[in-house]
Amino acid sequence: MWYDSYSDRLMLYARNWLGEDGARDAVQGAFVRLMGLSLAPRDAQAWLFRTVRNEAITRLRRQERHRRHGRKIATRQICWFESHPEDLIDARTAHEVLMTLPENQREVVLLRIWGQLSLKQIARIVGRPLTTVHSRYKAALAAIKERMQQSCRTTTD
Amino acid sequence: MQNDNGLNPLERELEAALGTLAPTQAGLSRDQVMFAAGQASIRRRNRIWQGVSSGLVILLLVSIISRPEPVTIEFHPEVAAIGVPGVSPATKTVIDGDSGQAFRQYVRTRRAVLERGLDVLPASTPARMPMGEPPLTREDLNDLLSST
Repeated sequence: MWYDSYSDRLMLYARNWLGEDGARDAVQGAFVRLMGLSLAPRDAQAWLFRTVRNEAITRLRRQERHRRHGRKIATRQICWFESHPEDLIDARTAHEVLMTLPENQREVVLLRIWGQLSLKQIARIVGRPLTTVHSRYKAALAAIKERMQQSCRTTTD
Repeated sequence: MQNDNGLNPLERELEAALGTLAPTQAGLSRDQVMFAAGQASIRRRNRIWQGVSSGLVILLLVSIISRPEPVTIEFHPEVAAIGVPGVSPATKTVIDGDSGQAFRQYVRTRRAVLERGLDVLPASTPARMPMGEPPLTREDLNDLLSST
């Protein structure tokens, strides 16, 4: 049940830090850990996002260490969203715009819009005060709006 | 006008428009996840057994290392002189006094019985019978046995 409901959203969240394969491993790891728990977490949705975050950050650090040692890491990136003609926003443009945001703002947007978490839950996951999360979210939306308008202007010109 | 998250209608609209975008399929197979979960559970169980057996090995090593020195029992001729062969000095202190006398007597008697047979035993005084009846003697017992 949780797998069907959250796997795609968790993958999108993990892609914030990792390439496709790393994100898949991180999400799989989170589900494996969830199945290993003797008691289901009180807020399974938030627990899954937090676990994916921890797993992704651990993997990212490991990759950084490997990079410092001169090893090459393949990070395959695909478009984050399915493209449908009826969408109000173009999937690729949305991905590109999101990538221009600072990482901490992008994270809040991913958790709020696609993770469907409340700002309070997000504050607990990212370990920041609610006011900080709120201001990051507002700033991110403003930036997205501005860049979308910019992108529209360049395509019409 | 602002909503619960403190967003104005334009931001709310943008949020809704972004929300219509569906994340790309995870590409994760449910079977793969189940298999990995099974593997993880086996690993956890193995870890428990490994922990238990390493604990036992450590316990065994500690008990071997901290084993007390073996006690050597020496033969003391002075104990042998009183007719108690093979008794350690510790036992000698125990058999001092009245109980010591009785013990020595017992040992002497035992040795005599072993050497010369039951005849060396002192004649036993018959047990007192209740209600003034004459005590049973050895002869009475023999008579009783032969009559049956």
